[in-house]
Amino acid sequence: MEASGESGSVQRAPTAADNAKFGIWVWLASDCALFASLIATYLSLHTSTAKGPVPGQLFDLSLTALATFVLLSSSVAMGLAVEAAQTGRREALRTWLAVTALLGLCFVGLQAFEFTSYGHEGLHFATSDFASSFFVLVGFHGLHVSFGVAWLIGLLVLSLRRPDGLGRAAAWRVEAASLYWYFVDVVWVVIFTVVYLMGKVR
Amino acid sequence: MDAAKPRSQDAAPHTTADLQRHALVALALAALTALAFLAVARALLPAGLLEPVILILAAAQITLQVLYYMHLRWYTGTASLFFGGAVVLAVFISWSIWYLLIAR
Repeated sequence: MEASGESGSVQRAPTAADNAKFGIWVWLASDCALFASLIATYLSLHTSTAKGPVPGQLFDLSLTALATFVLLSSSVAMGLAVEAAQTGRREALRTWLAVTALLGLCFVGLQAFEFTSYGHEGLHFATSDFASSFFVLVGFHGLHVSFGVAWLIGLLVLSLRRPDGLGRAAAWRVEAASLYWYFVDVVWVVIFTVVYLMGKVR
Repeated sequence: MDAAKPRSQDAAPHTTADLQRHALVALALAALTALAFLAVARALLPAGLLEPVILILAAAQITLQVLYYMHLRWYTGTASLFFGGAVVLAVFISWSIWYLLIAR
């Protein structure tokens, strides 16, 4: 963002963000508020287990670690997709978009498996306040990942349908998707720390 | 800047140094994640010390992701210690409020 000063010199705002990218950041901030409220709700209710399974007994850290590394790998792949978009390399862009989407699907699959296994151990949505808040928080994150996967598949399809791929001029579209994907990863860092790791410690 | 025509933040292709930095950040994130999980799984630290440590590890991961992946930095391109410091500070303040008001 730029504005002319009184002398006509151009003044630049500290972040100098494009309008589109600024809009993405504002949207991410609103999503951040949503997750903040869900995390706060979980923190308030996680001790109310109502004779049901408790976090320390329930959580399988190896499964959570696997899911975390899958999501982390997808962030690396997303970065490579952005780099390919900015340098106009169509095949590399398609490959890395597909890899990112695939890893995102793996993460969602692992989450679904985790929820199913918790169901077998007696933890259902209405079992306790802890169960409800846990499933809502982690489930919402899984929904966000699923939406991100759909977005990436959409970009991939767009890239395949156009003869010049997405092109350098449209690289900002991939950057916008990458901001969302990294945000989802950042939220997962908070979730696995606050929910899984601290749940095991306490 | 023409607002009607958004442009890529980095108009020039990434240099080798940029890709190397990206790879280093990825390795650092993997190491921090592994450390956090191992610290809890293997009970490497006393319980009272474990919580602050895993929070610090999480804050470090978030800072790296926000600065180097999401490029939240000043227009000069320099990673801003202000943002990184603000993230770390926010985590500690939030944890302290939670611990004092809710956990006890």
